Amino acid sequence: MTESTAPKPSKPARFFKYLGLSILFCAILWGMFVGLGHILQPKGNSKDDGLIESRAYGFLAEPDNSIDAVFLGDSLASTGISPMRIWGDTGVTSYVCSVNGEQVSFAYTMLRDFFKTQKPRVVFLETEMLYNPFSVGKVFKQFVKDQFTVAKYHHRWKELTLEDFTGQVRYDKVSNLKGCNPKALCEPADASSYMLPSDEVELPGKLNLVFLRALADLCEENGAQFVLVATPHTRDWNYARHNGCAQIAQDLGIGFIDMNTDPVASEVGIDWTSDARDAGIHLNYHGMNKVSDWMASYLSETLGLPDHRGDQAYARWGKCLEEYEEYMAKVAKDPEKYDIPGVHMY
Amino acid sequence: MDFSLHSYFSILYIVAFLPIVLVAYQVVAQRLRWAVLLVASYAFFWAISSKLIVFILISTVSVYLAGRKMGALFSERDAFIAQDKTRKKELKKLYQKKARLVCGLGVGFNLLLLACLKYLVFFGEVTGSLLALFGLNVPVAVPYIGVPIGISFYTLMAASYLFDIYRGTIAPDTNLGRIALFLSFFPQIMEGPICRYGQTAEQLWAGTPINKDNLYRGSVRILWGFAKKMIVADRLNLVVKPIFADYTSYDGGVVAAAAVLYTLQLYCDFSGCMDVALGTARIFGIALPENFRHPFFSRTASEFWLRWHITLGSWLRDYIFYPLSLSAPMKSLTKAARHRIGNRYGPLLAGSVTLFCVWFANGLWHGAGSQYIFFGLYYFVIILLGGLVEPLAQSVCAKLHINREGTAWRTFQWLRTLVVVFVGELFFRAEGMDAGLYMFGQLVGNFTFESFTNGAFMAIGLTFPSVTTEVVGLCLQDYAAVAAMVVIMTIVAVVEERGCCITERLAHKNLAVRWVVLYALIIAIVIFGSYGVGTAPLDPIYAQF
Repeated sequence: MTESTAPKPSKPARFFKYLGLSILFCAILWGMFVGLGHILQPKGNSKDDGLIESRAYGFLAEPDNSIDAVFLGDSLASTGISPMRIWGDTGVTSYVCSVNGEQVSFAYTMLRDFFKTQKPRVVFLETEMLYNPFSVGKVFKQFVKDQFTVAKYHHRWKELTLEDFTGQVRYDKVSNLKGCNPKALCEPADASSYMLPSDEVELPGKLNLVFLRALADLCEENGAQFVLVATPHTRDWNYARHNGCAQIAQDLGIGFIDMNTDPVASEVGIDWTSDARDAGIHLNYHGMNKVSDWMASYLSETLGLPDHRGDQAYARWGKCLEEYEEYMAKVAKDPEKYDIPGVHMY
Repeated sequence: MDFSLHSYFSILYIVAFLPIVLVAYQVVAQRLRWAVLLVASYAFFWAISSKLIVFILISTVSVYLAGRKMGALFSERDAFIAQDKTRKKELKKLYQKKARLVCGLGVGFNLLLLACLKYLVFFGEVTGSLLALFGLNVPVAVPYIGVPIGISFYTLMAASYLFDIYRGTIAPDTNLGRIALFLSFFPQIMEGPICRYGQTAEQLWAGTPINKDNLYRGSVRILWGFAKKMIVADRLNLVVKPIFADYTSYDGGVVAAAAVLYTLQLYCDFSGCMDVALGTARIFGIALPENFRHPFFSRTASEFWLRWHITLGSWLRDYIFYPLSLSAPMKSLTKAARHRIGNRYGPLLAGSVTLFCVWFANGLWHGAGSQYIFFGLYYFVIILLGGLVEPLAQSVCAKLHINREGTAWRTFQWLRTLVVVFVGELFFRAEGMDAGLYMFGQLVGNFTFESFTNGAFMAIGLTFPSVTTEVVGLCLQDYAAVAAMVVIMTIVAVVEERGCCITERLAHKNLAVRWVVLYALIIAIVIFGSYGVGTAPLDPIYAQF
């Protein structure tokens, strides 16, 4: 038996060898993830195509640079604002990009994706989101989802077709609701202790503020005006939060509209006996229409956003409005049927 | 996908906690590596049980002190014997008695802690029910403090440490840090294996550097555990959970399927967790004892328990079965039974008393619930009957010329054992004793394949109101994924039963083959794993015991 005479590699040499192998291993794995991600990624933009958060990401089907205003937030944004109502009133194009119960880090991801294809002149953030609990785990989860399409859409292995291997992504299913989620039921809210004046100040959590500043910076980089908006709700909104948001808006040099305090509240004119969906948490479509009407005039008259009605490039919006009105008639006729989770139309 | 640090299957554990510990372990000096493991173990414990960490600290100090006291007694005894060898027998007896008292106090104290934290509420309920039987409707209010993670596991390890010192198998440790690490080592704290001090304490202390072989073998083992858990156990939860939750709605056929699927789920969950535990320890150069050895190849219930949760079985054997069997009262009982009912059944009857204690302890260890005690006693009856019937079975087989080593008989034994296991797990998983009996009644008295032919079985699932109004269950592709994993697990088991260790074989293959295996496992977990919206990943089952 002969012993090997080859000299043993030095410690640094071994270190760099293993480091190189580790990098190579990860690079190959990354390549596999990217390749599989392309196969698994839904090839359309509807829920039926398998797109996650399809309501919020419905803007992918809109022509590039065609949306002038975007509303970020949680369920209060999607139940409180109707872009089609705003279009019908003023011809201003807008979109609601919101996901129920989400934290403000999600709004940041959403807006970053929105800016990839759109150039809105104004970005609104519904303030309820600033007071939602913040979880670092959720940020991490969002990061993983963003980076690994293969993990986000892994469940699609069960429904893969030949088109998934050969076809291109086509975002062509235009939503008639534009991210809005109208609710039809009515449960009056007790507004007896709603918005009692107070000097207290309730600031959002520190991590929420980190992402709020990031949102403000993102808007500035993209030349969009950033405005905080508190839609009417009695359960979680109060003067302390109003004061907190006013202070933050002043610090950041951004706008703040509170529809729960005068003069805006009077102008909107919410009737808590008929406009509340679930005792003051969300608005139903009556309340949503009032908020949208006020917002339409704000966008058109105060901000001077253009009226696109009559512009051939926006002809699809006119058709959408007809279908939207048909849908809202159905909602009004059969509230129970159209007021359930996960139901929205395209 | 789980993003909090409360199990080995959380993404935070695998991409943040474990890599940080590995790097910290490797960069510090070898003599300090035990400290890295101890800090990591207590951090992991804190992340799951927060303030309840105080109880593992109390257990650690108590066994340390009891061990030191026994050590001092034995030293004193040896010194006296050296002075006066004529009194050796007398001194040994005297000091053994003193040591027994210390050992008993140490073990008793730890068992008392376990009882207070885990069983007090159950005992309170039982006491209340007993009082009600006598017409005394006195509410028995028992405060609930919480159950620290892994208390059932580390308490048995603490007890074995003291028993082993008492028996002279090991010397008492003078280092509190080593005992603390032995009891709390993070890969084993949640679901075991239940290690002996002699098996792991020195390895944990050694601070063996991480090397590429251990890293590869450990990683493959961890990924294999993830595959079992995420592809099979988590996926099956979508059908197992609703059946057991709404057991009155299903016929015997569905109940039978639930028993089989739950057994598979439990195996993939528990053995998957063991793969992660053993794989993680392996990376640190620590060989933890195996807890499973392909239990579904067993031909008898006794053999099943030699292959399933091996470290619990061996603990019960070494610290309950043998000491009880060899105790003076049991010897007297055996002698009396031989005298009264003969040599064949006498020892069996006496042995059944010991066997009862073992299986009662087994059931009670699993949890404070009547179904767990029933589960233990179920195996007591099955194994006792097996012993009683065996002579008759031998005689019948001989008369009918049945070859007891032939394939047909072995297959019969295998199928019979599977049925015994499935029924046992049905009671084990049922939501209480009444539910278990009802489901067993359905299985026996209302067995039909109707639910499989009319589509009712495929419609079983869970609801996720915030996502959809539809019931989410398993489709044919899901069952195909489970079946594929079962086939792969069976092939691996057959190969390992023949004495080949697959991870060892793989470790000697060239780089390309080794990487392909790693990639295949990672991709299989990422794509076929059950996680995300519309799934119901399972909390590690044995972590609750």
